[in-house]
Amino acid sequence: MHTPDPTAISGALDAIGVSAGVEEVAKLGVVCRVAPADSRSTLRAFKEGDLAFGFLVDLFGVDTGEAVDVVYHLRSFSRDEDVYVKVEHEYGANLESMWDIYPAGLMPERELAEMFGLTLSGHPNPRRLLTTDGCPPFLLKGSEIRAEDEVRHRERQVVAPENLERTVSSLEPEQSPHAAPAKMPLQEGIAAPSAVQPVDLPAGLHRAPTGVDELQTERLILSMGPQHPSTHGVLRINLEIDGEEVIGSECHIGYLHRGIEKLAETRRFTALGPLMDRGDYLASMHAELATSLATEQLLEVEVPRRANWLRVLMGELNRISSHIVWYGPNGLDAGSMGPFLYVFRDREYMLDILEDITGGRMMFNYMRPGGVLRDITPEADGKIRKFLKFFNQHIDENDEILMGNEIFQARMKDLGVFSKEGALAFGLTGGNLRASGFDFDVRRDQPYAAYPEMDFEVPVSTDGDAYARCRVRLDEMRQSARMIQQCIDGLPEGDFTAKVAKVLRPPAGETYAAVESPRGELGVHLVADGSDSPYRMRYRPPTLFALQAGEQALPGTLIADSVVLMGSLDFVLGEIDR
Amino acid sequence: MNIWLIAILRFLAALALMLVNGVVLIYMLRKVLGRLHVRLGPMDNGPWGLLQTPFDVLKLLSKEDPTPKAVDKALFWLAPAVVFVPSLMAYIALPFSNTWTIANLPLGLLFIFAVMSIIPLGILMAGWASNNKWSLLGAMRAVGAQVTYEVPMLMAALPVVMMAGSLNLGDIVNAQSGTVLWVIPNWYIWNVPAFILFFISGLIETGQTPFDMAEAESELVAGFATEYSSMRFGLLFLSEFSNTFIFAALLVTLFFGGWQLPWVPASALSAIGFLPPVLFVVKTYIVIFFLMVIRGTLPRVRVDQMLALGWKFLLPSSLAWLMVTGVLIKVSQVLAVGR
Amino acid sequence: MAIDKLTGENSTLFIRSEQLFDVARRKSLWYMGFGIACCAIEGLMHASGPRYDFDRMGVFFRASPRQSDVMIVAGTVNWKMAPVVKRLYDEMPEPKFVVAMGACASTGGPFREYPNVVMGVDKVVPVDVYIPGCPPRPEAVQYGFIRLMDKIKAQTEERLAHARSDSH
Repeated sequence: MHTPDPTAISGALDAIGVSAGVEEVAKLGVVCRVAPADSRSTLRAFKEGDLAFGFLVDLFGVDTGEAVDVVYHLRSFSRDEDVYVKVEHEYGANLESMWDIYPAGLMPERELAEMFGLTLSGHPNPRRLLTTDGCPPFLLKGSEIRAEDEVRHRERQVVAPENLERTVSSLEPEQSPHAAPAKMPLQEGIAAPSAVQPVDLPAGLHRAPTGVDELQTERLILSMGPQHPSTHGVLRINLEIDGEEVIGSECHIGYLHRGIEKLAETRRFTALGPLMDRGDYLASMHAELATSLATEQLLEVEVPRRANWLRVLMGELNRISSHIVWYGPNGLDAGSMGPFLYVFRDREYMLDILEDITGGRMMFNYMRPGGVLRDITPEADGKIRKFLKFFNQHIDENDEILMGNEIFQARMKDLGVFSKEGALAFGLTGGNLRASGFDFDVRRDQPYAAYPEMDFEVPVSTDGDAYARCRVRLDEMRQSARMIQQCIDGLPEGDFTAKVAKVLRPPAGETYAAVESPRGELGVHLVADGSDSPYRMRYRPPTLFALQAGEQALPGTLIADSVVLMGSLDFVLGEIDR
Repeated sequence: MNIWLIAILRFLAALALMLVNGVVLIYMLRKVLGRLHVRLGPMDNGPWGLLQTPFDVLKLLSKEDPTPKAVDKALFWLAPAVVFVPSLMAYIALPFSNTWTIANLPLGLLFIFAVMSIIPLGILMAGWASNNKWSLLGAMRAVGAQVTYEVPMLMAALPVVMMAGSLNLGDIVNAQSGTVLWVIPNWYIWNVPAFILFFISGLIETGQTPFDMAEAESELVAGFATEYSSMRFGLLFLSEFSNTFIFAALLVTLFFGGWQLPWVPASALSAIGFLPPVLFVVKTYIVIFFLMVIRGTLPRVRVDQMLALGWKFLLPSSLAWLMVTGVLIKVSQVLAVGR
Repeated sequence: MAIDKLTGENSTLFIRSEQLFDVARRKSLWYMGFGIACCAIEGLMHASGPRYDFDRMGVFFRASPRQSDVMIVAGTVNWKMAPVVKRLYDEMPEPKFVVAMGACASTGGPFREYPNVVMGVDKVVPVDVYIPGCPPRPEAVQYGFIRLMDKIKAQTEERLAHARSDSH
């Protein structure tokens, strides 16, 4: 990871007449601060000019106490550089949508606007994302969490059943020229046709042509609602269908919004682990690792070599078990019950190993700032070796039984094709991006822990369809098994953790740390103010971007395909909703 | 005895067979799927879980039966009956032995096909009346699939009829007695293309995996039966298993010699009165076992792919094979006369 | 009269049939898995998996609320989700039961300080069994179901004792 050249950036911005404050911040990188009126031209200059920062990593806000800092985290893959563009908005100001420059910001902008009390203009779907009407902007510093009294005495929270219904309305400012509907007209029965419009995309997502319709048949709006056997969590997809074909789609999330980012501001740095565990609950190790790395960067702590190797070992075990939870239900979506149970048999064994080492089956709380919780025992070592012996054979069998099946292939091939440009425009990372032909893996390109010493390949495919994504993830499982073998054989001597204080008080500053979770680049942006809990913690969820890309790829598919397509993107609502 | 009394007894026998079948098949499904999926099926209730299905049925009987406010009441009430009764009627023509049939119909095969084709109507009624978009989708898929595959199914059974020379299922079974060259049993399974075509069409007609999109649990919540509860759901559930039994029984009758054993002469078998029906049921259950293994393994075919398979592949193939079989039969007749 | 003993309200036939239906209700609980969050993986997927097989007890998964007896609320309920939970509970036919699985569904769990979270699903629907844990092990969920079966039995016994005592 290189640091971009501040003078080049200032030069480019001066050329378009924008006055910007470009400085290099310690532990973070180059930060470029502009005024809200210039933000659009600035971002365009960053994307299209010589600077060529074409990838939006994350878009979030920080409440500085006097204003809301909107942070655009941009990346240039060709030069391997990251830059941060910060735009200061006043409280209650208007946020202009940048979706036509960076489509990856479609959903993060909505979340930003509702969480920080800004209005949103120029957005095709400016609706609240995570919360319902009547909720205050939670991430503002003035917004408080529940008092101890109400939490201890649960009966003080009274719920009247007739007050349960909630609406979700638009965030647009009153005088905006766009007139978005205030409420989805679902409750009034069959809605007028084309009430849900798919978004016009600038970057070419491959979308199958919609069917011929001169008969003026009725279109239904179908709600694949929060409770659905196959949405992999509580996700609601409103599909406008014409027979079996999907014409328009809209995703509603927020049914699992639990406030991980807000609660992180009230917990100590060592207690962030259990909180992040419950975000992406299938890749708990990786989420904890990202937080620990960010904290270590702030503290400037050196992690011992053995701890790094243990981190890789547990991370790869977690990667296999997470891919298994993707693989089984993927087969179930396609209708095949068998592989689900066969792979879960392997997962049970893996959870035994993880429980031996960490004490938990799902919420490990193992990665701590400075190292890991405890060392590996000889029994666990023996179990891992035994596991590796039968796993490679099992993975071949399970690969054959589902991926080799013609019916499965016929369903998955040519479904939801993302071109390389489209995938990059929507901020996809991880297996979803590699299946579209772009070779980027955080483990190899921005290495952390002991990955520089590991010998592994990164599977890439160029097809970009659902089958390619499945293939990439299966090969990743094999590579993970290979890495686990190397870790077990070559574990170095040493301490499993560095000596850190019991209560961590990192010096004030901010930093960003990313890991390659099974779903993509899981990043944690941590802002510390010198106290014992974070000032702001931002969790960059890789699958939020996958979800919005999938939402755009749905029109043109059949309903049966929509389930399979969303399944192939491997998202977890815990991290999308946070 | 009074013919009315005999008729009622026969009807009761069919009903009893259907209900017992349902109970046994549901248990068998759960156990087979369990073992296939490296786990045990029901174990706690009764030895090896044998009492599980009776408990399920009793529980269904004791559930509340809410009728949602916005459903089309008449159709909602009628739909389970329209699905259940044709399935029951199809038992009438099945040949359990030379003398044990509920009704020895000269057009038995045609009767079964005709009656089974009423079932899509019942499914459509169920899906439409539920006033639920998911049910409607499931019903439309089921009707599309079953209407498409009725013709190939009948066409695939016609070569067998031509070889046996009769639509009466008992005659078809008798025509498969004896052996060719004293070694190979004279079963019509050797007419493999007809078997394959009939098998695929039948899988779709009865809504079995890999073609179970009408009740695709992972996509459509519970398909056309989403809004049904308690015994109405029980009826729909039961008739699905009953259809499976009828399909398997037809397979056994048309291709595997019915109630006959491979090298045992038919007259010897018929002498022991109860043996042929037992053999017939055992054979049917073996076929159902294979169907369940397929169910637990294969993924589901998408609707448009399945319809394309039907219209573009199965229909022309079954027509073509019908012509080929006809030619072969004529050629063999000419050769036999000429010898 | 003698016939009342056979068919009246607190007759032998009634009480025996009640007990029979109670046994059937206990031994064949079909659940509609309301897998909201992390608990869904452990308590719904793993509990029905190859090692901790729920089908042994006759418990299996039905997707539609109209065909299920138990609703397992597995995960945190927040204000956006609460009306959905209530609606699905209303759609289930009687007799129905609710199992609150995990700390979040019981009391709000580790997220109870966040104002968007409902502190326990029993604020929205009546709960029969609470299973603590974050997430509870699959065996804990199965134990919760066994306790639910005991509770159903105890309720039936109470009802029958009431019916028997009414005659005196």
